[in-house]
Amino acid sequence: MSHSVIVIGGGPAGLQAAATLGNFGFDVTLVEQHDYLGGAVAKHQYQVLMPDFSSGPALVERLVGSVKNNAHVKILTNTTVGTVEEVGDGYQVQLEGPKPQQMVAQAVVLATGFDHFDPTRDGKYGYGLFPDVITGAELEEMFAKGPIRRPSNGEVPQSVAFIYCVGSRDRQVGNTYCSRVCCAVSAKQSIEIREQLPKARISMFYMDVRTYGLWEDTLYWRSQEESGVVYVKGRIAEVTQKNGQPVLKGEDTLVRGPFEWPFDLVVLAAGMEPSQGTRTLSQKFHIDLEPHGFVQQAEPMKNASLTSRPGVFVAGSASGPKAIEDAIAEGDVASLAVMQYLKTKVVV
Amino acid sequence: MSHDNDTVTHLRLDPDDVGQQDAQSLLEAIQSDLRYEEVIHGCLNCGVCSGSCPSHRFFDYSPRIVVQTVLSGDAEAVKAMMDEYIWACAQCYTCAMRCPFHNSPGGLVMIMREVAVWRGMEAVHRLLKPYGRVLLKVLSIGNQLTPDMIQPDFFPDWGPKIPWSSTDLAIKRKAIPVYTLQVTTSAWRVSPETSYELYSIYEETGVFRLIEEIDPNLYEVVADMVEDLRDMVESSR
Ligand SMILES: Cc1cc2nc3c(=O)[nH]c(=O)nc-3n(C[C@H](O)[C@H](O)[C@H](O)COP(=O)(O)OP(=O)(O)OC[C@H]3O[C@@H](n4cnc5c(N)ncnc54)[C@H](O)[C@@H]3O)c2cc1C
Ligand code: SF4
Ligand code: SF4
Ligand code: SF4
Repeated sequence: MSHSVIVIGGGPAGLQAAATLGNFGFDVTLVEQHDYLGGAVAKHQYQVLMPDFSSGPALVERLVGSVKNNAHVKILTNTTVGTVEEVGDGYQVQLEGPKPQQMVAQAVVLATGFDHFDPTRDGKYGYGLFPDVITGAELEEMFAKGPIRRPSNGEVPQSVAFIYCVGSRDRQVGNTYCSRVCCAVSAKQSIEIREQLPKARISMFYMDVRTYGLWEDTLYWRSQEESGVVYVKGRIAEVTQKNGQPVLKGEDTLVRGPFEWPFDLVVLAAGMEPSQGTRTLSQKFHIDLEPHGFVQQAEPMKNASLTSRPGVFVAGSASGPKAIEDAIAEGDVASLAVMQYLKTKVVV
Repeated sequence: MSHDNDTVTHLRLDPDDVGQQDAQSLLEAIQSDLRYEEVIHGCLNCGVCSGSCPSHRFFDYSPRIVVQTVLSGDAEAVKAMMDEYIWACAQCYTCAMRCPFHNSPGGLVMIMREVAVWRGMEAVHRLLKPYGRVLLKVLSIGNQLTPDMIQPDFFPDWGPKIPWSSTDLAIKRKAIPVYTLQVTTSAWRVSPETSYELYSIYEETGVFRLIEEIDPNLYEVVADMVEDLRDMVESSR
C-alpha cells in the first residue's frame, strides 16, 4: 500500500522533499500558494547563488523538473490550505484553489519558508522614501533585468553601500536573531557589482561579518582581495538624502569616528522572518513555535525536521534563517523522517 | 538644620555619601541604581547610538564609549569620564530610540550625572555655577523658571523678541485667565505651607547637605530663607 504525504510550500526545501518522497514511492501532493515553483529563488529571480556562484534559474529548473517528471508527485499551484482536522491515522486537509479538494495525509511536511523583512518597518533607513535605497532582493531582481542603474535617474552608480543587519539583531524591530545568510549574500552581490562597475566605490557597513565556515575566504576575503570592496565597522544609524543622494550616517567605530557619507545606491541586507504561511500553518497543525516565531525543531539532535507533533515535519527556512543548500538538505532530512515515521519500505 | 539619617535608609542616594569620591564606590553607585538594569542590557559595540548622537557629531563624545567604559568595570576610567566627558550629552535620547539592544546610553549618562552631583564632584561645581538663579528658585519654591527670570541680560542668546517679553510682566500675566498664573515671581502661586513641606523633603533626602558641599555661598542664602519661612509658618499655625 502507499501512504499519502502532503508537502506544503514549493521552495527549494519543499521541492526537494517532494521529489525525494516521490522517489521513495509515497503519494506526494505538493501545495504551493503561488502560480510558480521555486520559492524565494524564483520570486526574486536570483541569477547567481551564494556560495558557489552557480545559476539560480538552473537550480529552479532542476528542482522543478524533479517533481514534474515524478509520477508520484501531484503538483497543486495557486493552492493553499484551508481547514485541518486530525483523523484516525493522519490529517484531513481542505485544499483551496482552482481545484478545491479534500485529502487525508498520513504525514505533512511544512516547507513554508520565510518572508523578507520589510524595511519600511524601520524608518531610519529611508526605504520607500529615497528611491536609491533598495533591498538585497530588489538588487537580485535588478541583476536579472539588466545592468545596475540608480532607480532615481537611471544613471550608472559611482558608489554603492551595503547596510548589514537590517531587520535582524535588533530589539527595536522585534528580531533579535541573526539572519545568517545576508553577510555572505551581500559579499556575493558586491563581487557581482564589481564585475559591472570596475571603478565604483563599494562599501560594506557591518556590525560583525558573519560569513561563517567555508565562506570566510571564498566570499569575505575574496570581495576585498579581488573586488576591492571596503568594509567599515559601524552599524548605520540613519539614512538621509542630500542633493538627490542617500547619505549614510554612523560611527566608524574602529578608525574614523562620526561620518555622513553620500552614496549613489544603497542596498539593505534585509533579514529573514517566518513567512505568513509558516505562522498560519503552524497554528492549523497546532505545532509549537520557537521564541522568534519560527517552527520549533523538537529534537534537532535526533532529526532536524521533527516538530512538536508526530506526523508533522518541517524543512527549510520555516524553522529558522538558512541558506539554500541547507534548505535542500533538510528536504531530504524530512523525507527520511517521514519514511521512518510511516515505517514503510522504500519502493524503487 | 538637623540631619536625620534614619528616615532615608531606603533611598538610593545616601546623604552620607555626599563628598565620597572613591572611584570604585562611584561605579558601584552607578551599577546599583534602580534604573541601571533597564538602561544597560549589554552592548553590541555597533555604533548606532553614537552614529545617531548629535553630540558625537560635534564633540569628543561617544555614548558607545560611555557604555563600553562602564561595562568594562574600569572604575578609574568611569570616574574620569564623569568629570567632563559625559556632560557633552544633550539628553535627547535618540540613542535610546535606536539602540538595537534596547539600551539607553542617555539614561546611563543621567545616572552618572546624578551620582556625580550627589558626590559633589569637581565638574559639578563648575557646571552648576551658571545655574545659581535656577537653583535658588528650585530650592525656594520648587519652580525652575519664573516670569521675572526672563531678562535679556541673563539670556543674551534668546534673540530680539525676548526683551519685549520681560516688560510689563504683571499686566501680561493678568491676561492669562488662570488665577495661579498671575504671579510673576513664580510659575504658579506657591503657598508658604508648600515651601515648608518642600524644605522638609530637601532636608531629609540630603539635598541641603549637598548644596552646602557644592556651593557654600548659595547654601547660606538658602539657610536664611528656610529659617525665615519656617518661623513664619510655625507662628501662624
Ligand atoms: C536577499 C536574499 C538573497 C539570498 N540569496 C541566497 C543565495 O544566494 N544562496 C543561498 O544559499 N541562500 C540565499 N538566500 C536564502 C534562500 O532564499 C533561502 O535559503 C531559501 O529560499 C529557503 O528555501 P525554503 O524552501 O525553505 O523557503 P522559500 O524559498 O521561502 O519557499 C517557501 C515556499 O512556500 C510557499 N508557501 C508559504 N506559505 C504557503 C502556504 N500557506 N501555502 C502554500 N505555499 C506556501 C511560498 O510561496 C514559497 O514558494 C537568500 C536570502 C535573501 C534574503
Ligand atoms: S548574516 Fe550578517 S547581515 Fe545578516 S543578520 Fe547576521 S550579521 Fe547581520
Ligand atoms: S541622549 Fe545624549 S548620548 Fe544619547 S543621542 Fe542624545 S546626546 Fe547622544
Ligand atoms: S547602540 Fe546600543 S548596542 Fe550599539 S554601541 Fe550603542 S549601546 Fe551598544
